[in-house]
Amino acid sequence: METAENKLTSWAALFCRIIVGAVFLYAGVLKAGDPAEFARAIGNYQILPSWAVPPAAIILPWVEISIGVALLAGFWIEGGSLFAAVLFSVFSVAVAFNLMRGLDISCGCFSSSAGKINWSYFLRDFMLTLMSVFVFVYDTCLDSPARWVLSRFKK
Amino acid sequence: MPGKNSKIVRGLGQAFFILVLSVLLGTVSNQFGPQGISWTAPQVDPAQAGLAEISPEEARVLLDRGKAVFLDARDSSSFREGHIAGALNITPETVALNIDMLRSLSDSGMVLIAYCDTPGCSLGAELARALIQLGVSNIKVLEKGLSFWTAQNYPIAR
Repeated sequence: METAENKLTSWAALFCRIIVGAVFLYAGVLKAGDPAEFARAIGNYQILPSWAVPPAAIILPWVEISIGVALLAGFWIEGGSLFAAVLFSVFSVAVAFNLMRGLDISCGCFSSSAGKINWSYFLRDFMLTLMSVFVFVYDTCLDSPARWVLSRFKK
Repeated sequence: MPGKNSKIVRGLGQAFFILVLSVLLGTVSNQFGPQGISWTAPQVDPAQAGLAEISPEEARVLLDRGKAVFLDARDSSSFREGHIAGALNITPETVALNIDMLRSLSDSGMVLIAYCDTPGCSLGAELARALIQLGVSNIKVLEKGLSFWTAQNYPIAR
C-alpha cells in the first residue's frame, strides 16, 4: 500500500534524478566538445597516469552524457544512478585530495572556463553523490519518458 | 536481502552497458569530430625532449631583475583567471603569429620561460619545443608550473 511517506520519497527521488541527470548531461556535452581542454584539466589533477589521460578525456564526457540521458529519460535508472554515485564520489575524493595537498588547479567540472577548485566544489560533488545514492535506493520511476514512448509503440 | 542484491546486480549490468555505449560513442565522436585528440597523446616531458628547465626560484630572480619574459601556454580563459605577473598568453597554436616579437625578445637577451598549470600539463614544453623549431633560442620551461608558483606566493596578476 502506498503511504503518503512513500509518495513523498518517490517524488524526492524523481527530483534528485532530474537534478543529477541534468548536471551530467550539461557537463558531458560541454566537455565532449573540447576533449583536448578536458585532457589538460584531468592531467592537472595529477592522479591518473599520463597514458590514461587521453582515453579518460575521450570517454568520460560520453559516460556523463549517457548517464544524463538515462536518468532524464527514465531507463536504466539503477545503472545510471549507481554509476553517477561512483563518479561523483571519485570526483569528491579527487577534489579533496588536491585541496589538501595545496594544488591550485581548475576544476574541469563543466568546461575549461570553470573556476579553481575550492571546498564548495567538494561539497557540491558530495551532495550529488548522496542524491545519486538516494535515486538508486528509492527511485520508483514516477516519470519515465522512455517508458511512455515504449508504451505508445506497444499499442 | 534478495531484492536489494538483485537491484545491485541489475544496476551493475546496466552500468556496464552504459560504459560500453560510452566507449563506442566516444570513439566515434573522437574519430569523426572536429576536435578529436590522439588516444596516446604524447605528453612532452621537458627532460626527454631535451628542453632546458628552470626552477621557480631561479625564474623568480630573473623576473625581479627584468631578465625574463614568461609565456603562459594555457588558453585565454585560464590566463584571465590568474597568471605570472607580466606574462604573455602565447599558446602552442598562436606561437607562429607572435614569432617576430618573441624572436626579438630572445635576441635582446631576455630568457623566455614557458609554463602551464602543473607538471602534469605539457603545454609549456610543447610551446618551448615549437619555439625552438621556429629558430628561437633562450627558451626554458618552468619546473612545477603555475600551481607551485602560486603556492609560493610569487607575483601573480589577474
